[in-house]
Amino acid sequence: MSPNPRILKRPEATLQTDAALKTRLKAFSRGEITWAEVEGMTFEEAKAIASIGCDLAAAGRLDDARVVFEGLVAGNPKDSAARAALGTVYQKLGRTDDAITEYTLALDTDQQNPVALANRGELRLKAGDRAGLKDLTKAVEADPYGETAAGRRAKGLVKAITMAAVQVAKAR
Amino acid sequence: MGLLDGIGQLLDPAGIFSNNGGQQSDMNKIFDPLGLFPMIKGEVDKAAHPDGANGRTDVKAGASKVMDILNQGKDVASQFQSDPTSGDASQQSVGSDEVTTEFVQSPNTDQVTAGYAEPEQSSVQAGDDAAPVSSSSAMTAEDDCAPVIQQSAATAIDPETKTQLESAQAMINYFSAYKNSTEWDRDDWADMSRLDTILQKGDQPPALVAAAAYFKDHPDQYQLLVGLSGSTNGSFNVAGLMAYAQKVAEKAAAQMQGTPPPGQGVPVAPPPPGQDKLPPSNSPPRLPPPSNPPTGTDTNVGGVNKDFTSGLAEPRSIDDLVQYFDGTLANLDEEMTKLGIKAANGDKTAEAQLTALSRRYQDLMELRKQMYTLLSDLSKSFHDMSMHAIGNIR
Repeated sequence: MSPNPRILKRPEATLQTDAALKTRLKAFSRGEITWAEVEGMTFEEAKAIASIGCDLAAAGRLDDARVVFEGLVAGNPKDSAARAALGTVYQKLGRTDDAITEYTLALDTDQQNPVALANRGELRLKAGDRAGLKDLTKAVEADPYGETAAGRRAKGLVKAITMAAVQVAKAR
Repeated sequence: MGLLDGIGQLLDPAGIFSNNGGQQSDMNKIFDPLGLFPMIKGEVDKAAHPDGANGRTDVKAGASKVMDILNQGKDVASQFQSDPTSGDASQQSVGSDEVTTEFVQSPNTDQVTAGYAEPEQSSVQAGDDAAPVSSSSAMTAEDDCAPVIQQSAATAIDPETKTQLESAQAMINYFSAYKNSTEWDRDDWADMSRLDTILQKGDQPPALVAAAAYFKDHPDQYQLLVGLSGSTNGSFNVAGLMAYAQKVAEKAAAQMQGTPPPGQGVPVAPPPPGQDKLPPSNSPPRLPPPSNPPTGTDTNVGGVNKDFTSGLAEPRSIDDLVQYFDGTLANLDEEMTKLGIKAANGDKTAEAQLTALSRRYQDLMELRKQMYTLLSDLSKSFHDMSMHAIGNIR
């Protein structure tokens, strides 16, 4: 009577899983992988969660959206898209400094992120920082066809600022 | 729209802002010749400070004025902003406080998936991929303890060195015990025949017998002892034994530090059976200062030992030598204690790192738990609403 191979395989698989998890935890403790990698979360899964966060933010449930994006950023700090989205939530919540920090961290990873560029540029411009114009023009460069709301917003801002400049020039 | 078209021609000669798109990379090159941004800046400064003063608050005030202009010109800006390629562009209005939360991934595929698991692999396989991680940097408590343990093992003195040290100590004790005996020469010299006598006598201390057997079985060590004694006829004395012990101690210290012994002073031979490892030491044992002033015949040894080592406190009597070697093992124990202290410090460092890691893990877990709880609640709500709708249909 041969033993059931499934029963024999199960402990082995469990041990293998434990060993792999232990290896991943060690790598995580050394900062070599993210927690998302420890959990085995793929980008597609993160994207699906992020879309829920975007829906929550659009519905006005900003605290819930903050929880979602904070969790995503904690799982993978390298995710510039999640950081930029978290920045927009902070911006809506009135946490301007936190928003700028998140935009800056997002741009550290992805220098062409239009959301981070456009919103940071706008916040900087409102704060009187001239570097905001540079961020806005970079956002337009990053999204030349206005595929993102941030890119369209940046493009509109640049156009309007330019128009205002023309008006000022004419007034002189 | 004629005016707007004219403005558009002036501002956008390359068609950058037209609906057909354009070369965005040359935007600054186009803007700068027109001097539009400096004009804005000049207007901002002029509005805030007619006297020409400048500053951050001035720019802020000026920027606010520009933003006010933008807010007032919302309709005009919306016309500029409308872009067929952007889809629902009317949702955005320049100057409004509405910010859209969106998840925009980088066009760089590697950058997008960085920090996430590979989609086609299971969690086990992902773990296997993560397996070949660098093992050099250690942060976990387990890995931190490993080098300490390994260091302790590497710094252990080999059994041969311990045997040499014990043999020298036993012989010096023998000199001390028989210093007034007629079995020794007046100058406290001994030779190979004396070792034979010790071996043949059955009433000798085991340590002395073992020492005599060691020097008998290791002619190289015996010749080294003779050479250190300064003898030419194959005999040795206490001074030679002291110099020999010093060399052995230096070798032990070199072994402790993981470096070859200076000058390869004492060759290593296979250890005799039944010998344990000597406790390690970081430095050669130092002779204690003489506790008693030299008196009588005890000064002989001090006179002989004057030049055998410069770093060693000069022993004044046989008793000092015996005291010195009796304290050798205690000194080595002290070194072991120091090593124990070092290991304890390593444990503290590992503990601190473990605490920081645990705190970081708790924070991370809290954020992730909140996220998953929210998603679970949303899923449950969606399920309940769906079931409610289905129930109504039924």
